[in-house]
Amino acid sequence: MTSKLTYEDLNLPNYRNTRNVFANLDVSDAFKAGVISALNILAIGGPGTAKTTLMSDIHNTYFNGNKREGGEGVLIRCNPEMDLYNEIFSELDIAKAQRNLTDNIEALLFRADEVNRAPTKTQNQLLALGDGDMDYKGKSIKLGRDGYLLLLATANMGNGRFTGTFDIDPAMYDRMHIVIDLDHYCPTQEDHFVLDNREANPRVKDAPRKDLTQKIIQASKEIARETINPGLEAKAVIDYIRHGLANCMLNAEEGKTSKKGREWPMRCSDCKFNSAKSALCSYIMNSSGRRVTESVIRYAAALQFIAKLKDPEVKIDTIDLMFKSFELVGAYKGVLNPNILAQEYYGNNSLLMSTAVEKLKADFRSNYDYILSSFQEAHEGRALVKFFNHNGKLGDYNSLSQEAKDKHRIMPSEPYTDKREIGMGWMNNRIDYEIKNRATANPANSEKKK
Amino acid sequence: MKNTHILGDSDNNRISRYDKDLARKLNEETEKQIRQEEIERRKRELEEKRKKKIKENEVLPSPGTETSPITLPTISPLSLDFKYAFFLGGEFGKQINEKVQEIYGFTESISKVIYDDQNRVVTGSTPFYVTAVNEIFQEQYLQFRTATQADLEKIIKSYALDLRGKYEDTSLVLRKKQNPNVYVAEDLFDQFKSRDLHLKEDSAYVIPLFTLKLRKDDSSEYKLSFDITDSTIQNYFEAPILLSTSGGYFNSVEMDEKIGLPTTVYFTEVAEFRKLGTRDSGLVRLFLGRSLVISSYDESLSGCFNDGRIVIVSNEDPSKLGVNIK
Repeated sequence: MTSKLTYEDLNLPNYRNTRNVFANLDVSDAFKAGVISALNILAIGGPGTAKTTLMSDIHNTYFNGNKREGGEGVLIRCNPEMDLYNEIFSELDIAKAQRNLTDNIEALLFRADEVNRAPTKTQNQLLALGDGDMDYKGKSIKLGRDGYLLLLATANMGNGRFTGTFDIDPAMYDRMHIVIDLDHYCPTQEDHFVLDNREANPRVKDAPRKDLTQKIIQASKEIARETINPGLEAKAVIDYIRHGLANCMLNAEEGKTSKKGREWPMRCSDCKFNSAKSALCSYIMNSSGRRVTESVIRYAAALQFIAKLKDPEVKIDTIDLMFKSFELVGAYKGVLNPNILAQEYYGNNSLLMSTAVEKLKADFRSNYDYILSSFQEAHEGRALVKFFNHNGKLGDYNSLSQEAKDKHRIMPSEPYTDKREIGMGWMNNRIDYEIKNRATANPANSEKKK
Repeated sequence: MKNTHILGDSDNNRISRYDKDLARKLNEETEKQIRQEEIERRKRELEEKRKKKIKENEVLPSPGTETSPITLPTISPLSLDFKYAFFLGGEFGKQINEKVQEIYGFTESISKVIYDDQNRVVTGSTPFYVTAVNEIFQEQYLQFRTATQADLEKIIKSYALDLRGKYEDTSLVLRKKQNPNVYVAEDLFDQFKSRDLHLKEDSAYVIPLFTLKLRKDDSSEYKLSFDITDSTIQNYFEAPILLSTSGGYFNSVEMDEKIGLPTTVYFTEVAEFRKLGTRDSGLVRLFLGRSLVISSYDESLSGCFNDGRIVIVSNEDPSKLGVNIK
């Protein structure tokens, strides 16, 4: 029986970056979380930011090195002429005059170094790795083993743009669930002081080999189970990200759909709801599809897992956790206003994402009491959407008598509206869903009061 | 709050500002405030009316709680005033008691009332005993009579006697030809009928004890029955307020002073309000209870306890009548 993963198991022998990311987690931990959650990671940064050292540490210390040498990893050095199919996944059987699949399809880790050294057309070959699915002679071959597969990639970036040869295909970003900018999340000065005490060697240091694959797979499955029902708070944040960020008051006023469309963010600079040029809805939009939000949940579970491994007593605030996960997952998913990114943040996705997420979190928290109490009431079969405020407490406005309303001059608060920068109208549907779902699970207890 | 999230720590929870009971508490508080304001308003209204000298037959307003217009009798001896009030006691009380016991002491309804030598006061009370005392007064002491319910309210208001901790019988309440006390009830209905007064059999009539006489009656479980008199006809009255649900509360300032009963009954407890005990059938006693409860609920006409008192009222100073009441 495989023993459980410990924090010490995950020690990276050569890479050091203790810059704090969240709670008791540093940058190294953020990568560890990606590994154990089987979320593909792209590390970007200027030359010399130790991206390759980091990837090499993971490749050797977690996955025991190369597949051909008894390990579970496959190294791909990206270049314009790379041909993954012929170089990695198949070999020539001269006798049969055909190419056969190699055991590389069972590798658990694919490490693609400097992806932007290959043109986007060539980068497309990596998409299959990102999806965990390869096309072979018209058949679909599942990559990895036991439900686990990890694609680690690096890309050189300097002066706010990709250096090397080519840009990264947006479809590639889609498959790289987590993108960490090591220029933004650079090592601390103390990290450098410590590293100065080691043997000076500008080359990538080789890490001793170790096989943690079984433990990692086990941890990955545990994390997957935690994502089945992440809880009310986490679900509320996800809904907020998914639906709230899609809101566009200008579109709604013009009688169109209230959602941001393809014209975003072109109209934001002239939008009457953005006269101060700081409307949150102009900074960030939702990501279409479910990939981002599912990555957020999974990565959040992994971050919590690592945090608890590191210190079982650490307390993790759910809202902080979910928004931090979104920050790390979403920074390169095309959700940021490219004009603001270029003009005000000089291409620093991580910084703009961090700024936007802080504002989103503050907005979410200002509505949190409403959201939480509505969820609680929904679980008891009641729709609570209209509140009143009395002496610092919130109550159900619809349960107030007319006399009480008149006597205390109580006005209702209706927070679940889309007439705000980040929409909250989705809560009405969510409440209805929770009540209906509760009724389906427990038909005898169903009772709706609005 | 139960653990509502898996990601994150429930111990690190923020306390929601939502109070599930806030609306209910605010509703109750508002209702109380409105009642209080209504009471204050009616107080002011009644005060103004008193100052304007309300006409006898005026019906008091209905505030929407359980109340009823009061029909006053055409002759209103209830407007009998008195200047003096005392507990039956002293040498006078001892003598009256001896005479009552002599005539009616064969029944517990009378014999349980005694003269307390130590405290020099007649202790205990039953409707039969009170009626008997009045019979004696009718023969020898016309200046005296036992108190009505309205008299007791005046006494409370003027602090003429300390009535707390004691009970005093004043009247009978006749409702239906049913138990409790169906025999005596039916007899009274018949007596009224014989005088061409057809009482309703689903109402409540107050018959002051000072207007009645006693009759030995072996068919009665008490060995006694009541006889109505001309004075009864003049002084009885219908009191629909005594048909309200028992256990209600009333404000001492919302009283019909002529009959000594409340005009309005509430069903939410309010500080300093008194209670009204009622029922919906038979014949019972009307008395002022120990905590100034007005009760027309008790079944037994012979129940007697040593904190009962007989309250006597008079327009003349007892001491000047040569009567020793202490």
